[in-house]
Amino acid sequence: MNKYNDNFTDGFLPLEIIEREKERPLSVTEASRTVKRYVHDEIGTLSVLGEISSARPNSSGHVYFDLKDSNATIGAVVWRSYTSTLKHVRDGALVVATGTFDIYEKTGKLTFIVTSIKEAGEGGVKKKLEERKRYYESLGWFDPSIKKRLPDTISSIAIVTSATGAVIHDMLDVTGRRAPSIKITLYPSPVQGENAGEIIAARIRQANAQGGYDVIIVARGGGSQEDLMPYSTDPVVQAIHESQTPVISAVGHESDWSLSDYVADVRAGTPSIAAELVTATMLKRREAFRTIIESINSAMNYKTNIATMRLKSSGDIETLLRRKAENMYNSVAMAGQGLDSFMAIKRDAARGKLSTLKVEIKANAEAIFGNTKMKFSSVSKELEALSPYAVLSRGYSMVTDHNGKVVKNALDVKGGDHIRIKTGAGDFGAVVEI
Amino acid sequence: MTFEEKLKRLEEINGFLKDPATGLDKAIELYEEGAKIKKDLEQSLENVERRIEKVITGENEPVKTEPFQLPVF
Repeated sequence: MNKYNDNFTDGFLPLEIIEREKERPLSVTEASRTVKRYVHDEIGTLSVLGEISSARPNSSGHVYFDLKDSNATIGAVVWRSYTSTLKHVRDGALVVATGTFDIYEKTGKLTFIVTSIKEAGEGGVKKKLEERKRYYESLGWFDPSIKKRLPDTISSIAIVTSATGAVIHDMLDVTGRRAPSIKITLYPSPVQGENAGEIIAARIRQANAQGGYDVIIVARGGGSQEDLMPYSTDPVVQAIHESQTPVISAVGHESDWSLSDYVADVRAGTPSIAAELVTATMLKRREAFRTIIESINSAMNYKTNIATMRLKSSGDIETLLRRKAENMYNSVAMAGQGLDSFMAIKRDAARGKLSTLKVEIKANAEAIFGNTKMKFSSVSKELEALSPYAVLSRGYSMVTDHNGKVVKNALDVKGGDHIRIKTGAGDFGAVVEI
Repeated sequence: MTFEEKLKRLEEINGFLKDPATGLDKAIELYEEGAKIKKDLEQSLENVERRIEKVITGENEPVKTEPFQLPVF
């Protein structure tokens, strides 16, 4: 306890004293009461726009709740006597609350004591929608930072939409074409009308409770702003916001919008686009799979081609060898031919020589023969000259005895002998006379 | 093996096959392994029977489903 407590019994210290006594630490009570006085007196009555959440009546009839926006929370209370204000306290309501701030000493908690509540947002559908949008935006429910990523692998999806009509038809068509392996569970719901929002929200919650889905698609075809209204209702927005499973909002056409588009983790322009989104990974996988298979096949082909080429090139060696062998054979043949022609030349030359020789021999022989002939004829002439018949022809006669013996001496004959006288031309007999 | 693991294995096999240092014997062995994985993946990617179900219970009841067939137009 300090001396000032005696002077200022309620514990509140005017700022001048705090300023003057800077060095002195305040007691907790002093600090609390000083702040309390300033909060209450200086700030006074305020109006705050926010969303009511965590409303909790206590046993004494007062209702405690939180006022929130995207960044801050204020604890608030409506005393039980403010009955007309109390009825506005419901979770999720966007309100303008008017009151004063106070600090509860025991806990140090700042509380907004609300004396009147006005529902925020009035007017036409569009205005209401805009206001609701601003409200949820202020809660941070549209923040990109809180959006869940679609899982890489999507193998099971829940679709909340009508069981009849073009939407489910188109979606099944797209998913079937691109990724037939994805399991699809249809959560049927009305897509317009009074209770549609609540049923859609319940289906989203039901799918979450059921679990096992990689993504929930909330889908609807195009329609008027009023037709699309269920997708902008509080239950749907809240169900999507609270969904543990990522939600894709695929409501209406590309140009339409609903609050489900903003609060969902992903907005798809149309249900078919949503179907494309959830099948993208599977399609990519199929493509990756096909590409890798193609690549493996071509790599293997290349390998086997190389191997085959090696085999072929060993075949080439064979061919080469065969060719070499052929060349060698040809060379031998050519050599043979060369030899033949060489021999032919030699032979011809020999023949030539031979014929020359023959001619020479012939010539020589003829020469020899001719000389001989000539010699022979001169010898014959000599012989002829020596012949007795040649003498006879010159007028001489030859006498032979009866024995034919030439009579060379007259004494060799006696009278009466018959002799033969041979002249150059004929002969005749005669008788010797003595 | 998960799909991704299988795909990764196929990529590894592809890498080996492209490596000039991988002999033909090893390549054939790897190729056969790849062919098995391929068959597996094909089964899960291409040749699956579609599973489409429809919840037949109310939105506030436990989920019961039955096979869903699009009404024929």
